[in-house]
Amino acid sequence: MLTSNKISLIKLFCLFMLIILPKQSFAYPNFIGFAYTSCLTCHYNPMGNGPLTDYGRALGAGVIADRKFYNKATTEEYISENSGFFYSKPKQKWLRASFDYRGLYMKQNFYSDVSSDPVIIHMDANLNLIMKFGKSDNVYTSFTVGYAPTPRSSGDNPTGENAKPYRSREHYIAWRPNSSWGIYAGMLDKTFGIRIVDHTAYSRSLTGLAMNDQTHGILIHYTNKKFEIGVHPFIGNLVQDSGVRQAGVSTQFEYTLNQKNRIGASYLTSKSKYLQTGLMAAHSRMAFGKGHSLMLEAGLVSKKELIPGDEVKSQYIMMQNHVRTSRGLFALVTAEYLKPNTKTENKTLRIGPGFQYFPFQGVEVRADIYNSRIFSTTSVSEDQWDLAGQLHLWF
Amino acid sequence: MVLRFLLTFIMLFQVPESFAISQKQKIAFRSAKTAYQDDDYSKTIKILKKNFNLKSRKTPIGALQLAGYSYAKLKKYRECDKVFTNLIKRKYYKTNARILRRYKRKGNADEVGNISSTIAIYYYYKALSISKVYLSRFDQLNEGQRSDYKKNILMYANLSIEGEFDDQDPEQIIADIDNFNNKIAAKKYRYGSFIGINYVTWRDRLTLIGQDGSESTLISNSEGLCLGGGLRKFNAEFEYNINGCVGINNATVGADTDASVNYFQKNVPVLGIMAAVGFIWKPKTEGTGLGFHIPIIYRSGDYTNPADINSQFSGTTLDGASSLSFGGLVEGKWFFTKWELSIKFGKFTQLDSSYWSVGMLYGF
Repeated sequence: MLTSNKISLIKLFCLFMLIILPKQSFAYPNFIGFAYTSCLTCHYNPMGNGPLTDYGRALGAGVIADRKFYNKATTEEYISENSGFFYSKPKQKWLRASFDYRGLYMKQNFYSDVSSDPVIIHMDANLNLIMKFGKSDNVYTSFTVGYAPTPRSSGDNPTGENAKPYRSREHYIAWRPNSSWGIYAGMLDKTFGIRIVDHTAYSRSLTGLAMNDQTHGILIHYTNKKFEIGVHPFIGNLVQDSGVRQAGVSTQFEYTLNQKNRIGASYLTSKSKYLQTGLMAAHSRMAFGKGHSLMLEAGLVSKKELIPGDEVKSQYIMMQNHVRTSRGLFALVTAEYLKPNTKTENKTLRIGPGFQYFPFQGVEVRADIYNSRIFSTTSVSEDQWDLAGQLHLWF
Repeated sequence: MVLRFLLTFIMLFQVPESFAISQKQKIAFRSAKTAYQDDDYSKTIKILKKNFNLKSRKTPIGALQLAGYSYAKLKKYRECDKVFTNLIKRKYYKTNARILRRYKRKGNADEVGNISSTIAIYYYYKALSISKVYLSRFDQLNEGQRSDYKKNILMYANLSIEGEFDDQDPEQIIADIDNFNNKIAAKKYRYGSFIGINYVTWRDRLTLIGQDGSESTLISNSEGLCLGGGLRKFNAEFEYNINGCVGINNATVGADTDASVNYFQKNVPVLGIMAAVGFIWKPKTEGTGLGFHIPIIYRSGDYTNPADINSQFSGTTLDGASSLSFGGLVEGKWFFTKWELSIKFGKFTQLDSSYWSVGMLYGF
């Protein structure tokens, strides 16, 4: 049970973590399982990701997270009200700060003779400030800056953007003239597909929509009871060299079949000096009972190198399903299919059973096993078995 | 509010019928009211019982009402029911008979006639008492009795609602009974069957045994569709089943790292037959399930004789083309109305690496 002393200790622990580890926050697309169909319910960014609204924080604390660590006498209202910055009640309306950290423990090939040493990666650690203006807070800015580890693919001598340990993953100004329309100008994630948190999923890595793939542009968002659409023309990440900036447009449309089912489609086309990218995807998000969900996305990826003129078309399917075994605790399974080149029969299948636990607001613990199997027409290879443990903190 | 008003009225102003009451009883009644106001309901009943015959038709209405409310507070619902039955007979014999007759004829409480606020209160306490007796004695009741209880609870609660009794919540009585009945129904086991089609994949090892006894390991990745079904005993929370499926998989076989072994084949047909006993837990009994299966699998691949592939394999035999093994699988399930999505993942003793399946089932 959490007494006030223990809460103070938790606050101190959080402060300590804040000092030693820089930190953001997430509500997930599978929370459609709680009948929250739209990301806008909980996020300042209407397409998801980034800092949570006060309502999103309260929801996370009073509905999603476990309450075993609280005294029985502590009401849900109290927990929700005190879900602000470091478990406090917001004292003013115009400024919201938040910290977010996500760390990964990973052991690759743990079921093999060639097992590698485990590694701990601080995947991101972000500080965010939201400033709200206007009588109804319909104008606001969001600025996020954070630690960004050097991508493993960059090796020991990263160059350009990859060499910088800090970056801004989001900064924009937003105007929502009414509850339906919103315009967001600045740097945001590209609008496309289901924004699941697993940036190594094929639906995010193959598509170039992972944790460091934000872009400058203007997002126009419209929502009503029946559908939601985002149109996002973008000019690329202005911090990058101009030659590699992908400029284009993306869009995502979601139709509400009912309170617990949404189907959608996404399209993206972009181009840099060297590469032309085309993405198409269809997806569905379904809720079962309270908190259970099923998400499915199938997509086509086309990448054409403009100088030699080679084009590779790929296909992927991603399914991520959650079973809520008790409040705060989920069993989940991620099953993926990847055909890296549609001209060949080669493919990779990956399955990842795991669990996810939110002991209380601000803390998420997750563990997954990923088993990848390659089917090739010319060779046979061992399966890959990876173990991933995650700690996610947000305050 | 109405009840509070009536209770206050009864307590403060109602005078027991003078023809049936002595001075001693008047004093006792006042004492009983004082005890009730002090929330001492046991004492209220004790005083009333000592000074009045609560079964008698001559007992004053005020004393009976006080006894009824006290029994309700004490959760002595059988006694409470008897008191309110007595009260209804005493005060509303003809009205009650007419209302019940119309209710039974129409099957609902609409337009059954004027239901006064007092009789609506009595109906509420009848519904409350009967519902509590029904819940506490459910296991001892036979189906006919249960049906009678449910009908009566519904009737008195609906009549109370029709009489616009809103100080307590008669609808809550109906909701409680519905919830209870749903829980009972959810616990009741039924039998069913299902058929399904699954995409399955596994990987196993084969061994090339040379003439000199040397061994080289081959890996075989296999995938295909498995058709099957099963029988199950289930309720809303648990399921026990026996299930199985059969399919012809497509395997690719070769050596992973040993470049000296030039044995590679694709599109090898592999027969797979699997049978399992399974247990499913449906957390919160809402649309999903987590399960565990103990399966046994027989698989047999039509691998080409090594010597037919390459002359270097002359005299070489292939071991492990067929195997029988058992294992363990965990399962996640998502239930649509009749269809179910099933994802299984696990390990068999004789199969290298994992076995997994993704499929759709249809239940009968």
